[in-house]
Amino acid sequence: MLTLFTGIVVFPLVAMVFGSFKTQFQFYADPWGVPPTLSWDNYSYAWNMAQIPRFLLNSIIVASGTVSLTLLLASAAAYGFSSFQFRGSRPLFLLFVLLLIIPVPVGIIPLYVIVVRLHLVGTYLALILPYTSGSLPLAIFLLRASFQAIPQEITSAARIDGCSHFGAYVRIVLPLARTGLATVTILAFISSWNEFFLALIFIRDPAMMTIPLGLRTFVFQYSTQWTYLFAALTLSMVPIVVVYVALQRQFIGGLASGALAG
Amino acid sequence: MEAGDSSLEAVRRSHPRRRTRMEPYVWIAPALIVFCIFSLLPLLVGFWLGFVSWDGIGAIRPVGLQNYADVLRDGRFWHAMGHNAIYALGTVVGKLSLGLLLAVLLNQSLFGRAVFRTALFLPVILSMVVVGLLWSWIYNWDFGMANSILAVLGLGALKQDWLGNPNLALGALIVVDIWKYFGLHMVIYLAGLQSIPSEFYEAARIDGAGSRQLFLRITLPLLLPVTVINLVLATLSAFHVFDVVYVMTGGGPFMATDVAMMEIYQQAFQFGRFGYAASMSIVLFAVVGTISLVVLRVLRRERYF
Repeated sequence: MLTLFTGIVVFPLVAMVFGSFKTQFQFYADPWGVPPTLSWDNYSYAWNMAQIPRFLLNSIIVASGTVSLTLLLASAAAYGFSSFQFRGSRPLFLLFVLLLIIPVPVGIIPLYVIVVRLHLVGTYLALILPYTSGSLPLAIFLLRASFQAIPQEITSAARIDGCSHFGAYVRIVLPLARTGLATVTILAFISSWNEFFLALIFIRDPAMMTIPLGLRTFVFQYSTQWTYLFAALTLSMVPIVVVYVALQRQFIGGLASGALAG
Repeated sequence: MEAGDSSLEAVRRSHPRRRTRMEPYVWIAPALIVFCIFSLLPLLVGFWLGFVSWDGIGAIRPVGLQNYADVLRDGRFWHAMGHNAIYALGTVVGKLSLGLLLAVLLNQSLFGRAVFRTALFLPVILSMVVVGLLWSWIYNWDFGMANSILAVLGLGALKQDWLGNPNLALGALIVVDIWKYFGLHMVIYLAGLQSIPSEFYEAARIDGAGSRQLFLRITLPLLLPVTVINLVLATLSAFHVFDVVYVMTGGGPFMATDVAMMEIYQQAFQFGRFGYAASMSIVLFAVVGTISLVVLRVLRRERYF
């Protein structure tokens, strides 16, 4: 029964990969069977004509920018929240976490105006900064918990040995919180790699489009050529599926803990 | 202890007092600045924007509650909200029942468990745009997988224009959403199942309970908190659905798949009615917030939380 279900779930993806290797003629004869011969024409078309490499590059820049900035800002803030007792600590933390509880489209229109006014439209920052800001609440929440799980004795011992806060953060807290950092990386990566709405409203220039937006534009131009579309979709999935299969345990655990925290 | 205290003093003395007082804020400031500009400020401005009329370029004109009065009378918007409600019902039932079923199946010790889990979770990590484009092909009239499978099964008479028929299109989108996200709910249920102590089952089995009774009397009640989480998550996502609709149907045919976010998008970014779109999004927020609060309230009263 489990095998049957898994088969049904995976089948559309398998049919897509099959289709991407067929010629137009083979596809019309048999839309979802095993391809009789392997044709790479669809791939060379998607690679050369449809700007897929450009979209992939844009997505990689935006996603890695978002991940690095999120890790940097969130880990610093989480260190601040977990190692100091200070006035306003609790309200400030709640301010971040508040947006975790209410995901709202209310801010989308003003966000657009702010991004326009800051002259960010047409740059990668138009996506990186809003994506980072969106990832921060969950990242700070998860990292604070994982920093607090580090035994206090270790950090105090380092501080007594003359280690500065920055030293303790870089040499002790970050290495010990690798699992938490990995979870945050995966969550920020997936959400920025797949995000569509903000990309749709901020990006007009085809040369700046990320994968989801580029694919959507691409399909409107070639919608009847299904085999081209299959090749483009397959290419766009390869990077994320490879990373996912390699790190599936962390992915599944990370996304589940992300959902549970929300 | 004494030695520890005195060296702590030494550490404190080596840093000027003012710096220690300022230091936590320095750690938090970078995140706070980005968060304020790109999350908090937009949210606050969004609430204010609901009370003005603005095209994004020209003068901002305060209009009081006029936008809200217009939203309440806006037939298109409420028609779309109705679709969100149907969408929520369909996806919640589909995602939760499939998620629970597969979690129970996966919770046994069996060969290749990790492989099944990885495969079933795969759609969750894909972009909704990719998924939507793939399913546009599946639903295609001439060469799509759905109709061609019907033909193979000898049910060619049931061939449908899945996305072109106003009676079917919304249901077709619901199926796509379930396919993409049931894996997430499955994993959350799986975590819930693994937290149930096996002693409960052993004790009940000694008392002569059958596997059906075990499921109904132990598993289901103990999974209630997890079910609530899944319910709230799936409902929120159904009321905020946009990508799959935009990519697959654009709200059509004949507005049959129009949803709230689609209306907000069009009002703001196609008609340039920023204030009006903002008040729509606040109404949406109020509706979704009320639903979540009611669910949590009811369950708290029942002492499940």
